[in-house]
Amino acid sequence: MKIDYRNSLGFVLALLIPLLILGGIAYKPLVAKAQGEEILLATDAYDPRDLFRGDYVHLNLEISRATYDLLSKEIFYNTEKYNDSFVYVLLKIDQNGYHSIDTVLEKPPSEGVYLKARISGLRETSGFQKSYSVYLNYGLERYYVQENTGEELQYDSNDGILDVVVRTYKGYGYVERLRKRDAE
Amino acid sequence: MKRKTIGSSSYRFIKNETAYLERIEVIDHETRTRIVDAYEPREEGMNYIRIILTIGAILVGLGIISFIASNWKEIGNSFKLTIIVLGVLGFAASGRILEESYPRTGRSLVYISVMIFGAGIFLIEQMYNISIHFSKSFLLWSLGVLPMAYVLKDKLIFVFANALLLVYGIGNLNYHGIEWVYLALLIVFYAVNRFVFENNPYFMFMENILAAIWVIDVIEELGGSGLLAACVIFGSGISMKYVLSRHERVLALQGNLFMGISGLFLTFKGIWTDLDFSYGGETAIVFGIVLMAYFLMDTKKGRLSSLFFVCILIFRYYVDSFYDFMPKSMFFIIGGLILIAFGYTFERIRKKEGIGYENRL
Repeated sequence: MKIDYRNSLGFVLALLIPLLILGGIAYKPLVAKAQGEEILLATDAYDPRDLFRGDYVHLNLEISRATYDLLSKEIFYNTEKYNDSFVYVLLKIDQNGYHSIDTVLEKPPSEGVYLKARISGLRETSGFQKSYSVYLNYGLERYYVQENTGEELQYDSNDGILDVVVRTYKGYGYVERLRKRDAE
Repeated sequence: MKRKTIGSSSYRFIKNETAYLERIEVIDHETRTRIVDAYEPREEGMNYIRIILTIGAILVGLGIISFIASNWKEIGNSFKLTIIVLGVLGFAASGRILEESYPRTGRSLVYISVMIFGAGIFLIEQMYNISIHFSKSFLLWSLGVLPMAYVLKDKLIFVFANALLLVYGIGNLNYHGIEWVYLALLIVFYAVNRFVFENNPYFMFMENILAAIWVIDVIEELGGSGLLAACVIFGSGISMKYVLSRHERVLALQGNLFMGISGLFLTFKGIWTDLDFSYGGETAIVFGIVLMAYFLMDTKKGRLSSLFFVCILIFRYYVDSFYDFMPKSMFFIIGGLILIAFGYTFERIRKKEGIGYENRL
């Protein structure tokens, strides 16, 4: 049977699209791995009932909550408008080597290490009228583990003694590995 | 001359018999050619070879996913990426080559490629701990396999792409704004069905469900109530059943389903509380009675789906009214007897002579 070359070209194009999608998903982590900066984030103790879903550990990052004094003026005065929107979290390093929130900005900062996040919820702060703490979602909240091997990590995460090593590049970050506090 | 489409076994029969008639000189060669040319064999549906090969493809695909997933700490990320890419490319390309001589086996290799592509999405997310909403992965999977369905004109891949988009649609309801990407992809689905599958009514049926999900999502995102969503779906059901079904018969069934499902929601008191008046309970009951009467009348025309909704409505009111008051054993026995009575009625209607296929639907 003769091969229809016009159809074959269509087939090659159709095959390119899945490959582009796969490449698109892997692109940012690969760039962050090659050119990004390593940062260290601390986790908080987490309610064990929701801790381990399927084959990943849920990471409760300390930087997932920002009090109102950490918000930029623009976000502070329009917090409700920014709910469910992307923001940029400028990080600072403390004396123990952990990164914590310096300021939550509406635009990417020109310098410094920062992460892109989505404001995923607000909590009204008592004592200061109309101000909110915000919950931030970075897409760094999961760490996948091999099936049936996550038990120890689960307990460590329960106790809030897990540190998260993140590789970050231009606001994008991915969890490279976990380490037990004081293990290194 | 327009050729008549017949089943492949009937086509073979005509070919063989006309050859026989030519051999015993009842007809000449030209007549035989003209007879055979008046028919064309229907594109083959699912036969057992295809079913076996498809199941085989799915099993191999699942096996590969499981292999990489279970060994993922032992294999390096770049090696895993290579396996995924080579798997997608290799199976698709060898399927394409094999298709020239073994069309069904070749196609099953393409199915494996489709499965590995989906697995690849999830595995790359695992590899780099990417925590996007699970439904987004299904959107990407659907997006990636649609061109293959288009190029190969493959119904199974197209159905699969529709199903993947359905998972995305349901998973993404009321989540982060209006889904424009979903809408764009849905329009492409309609177009592919129109131009590649000649408006296959079953595909249209699936796409209409996807469209209804989008409409419900938009209403929710814009702050509309459940009442509004149910009314819109109910209204579109009416138009499908009474207007659009003139063009496509399956829309009569789908319109009825839309009316029945959204109508069922409208029989609950809670949904009417969105209106600023205190007669929610009464409105729901009146609506329920009218709906029941409508479906009963429709059942008389022999429409089985209407009978189904009559049964559902009776059962819904039975559960609502008696669950709290009756002893549990009595509740289940009577509930079971009601269902058996429904089943009997269904069977009787089906058996009735003279009910056309479209009416039974």
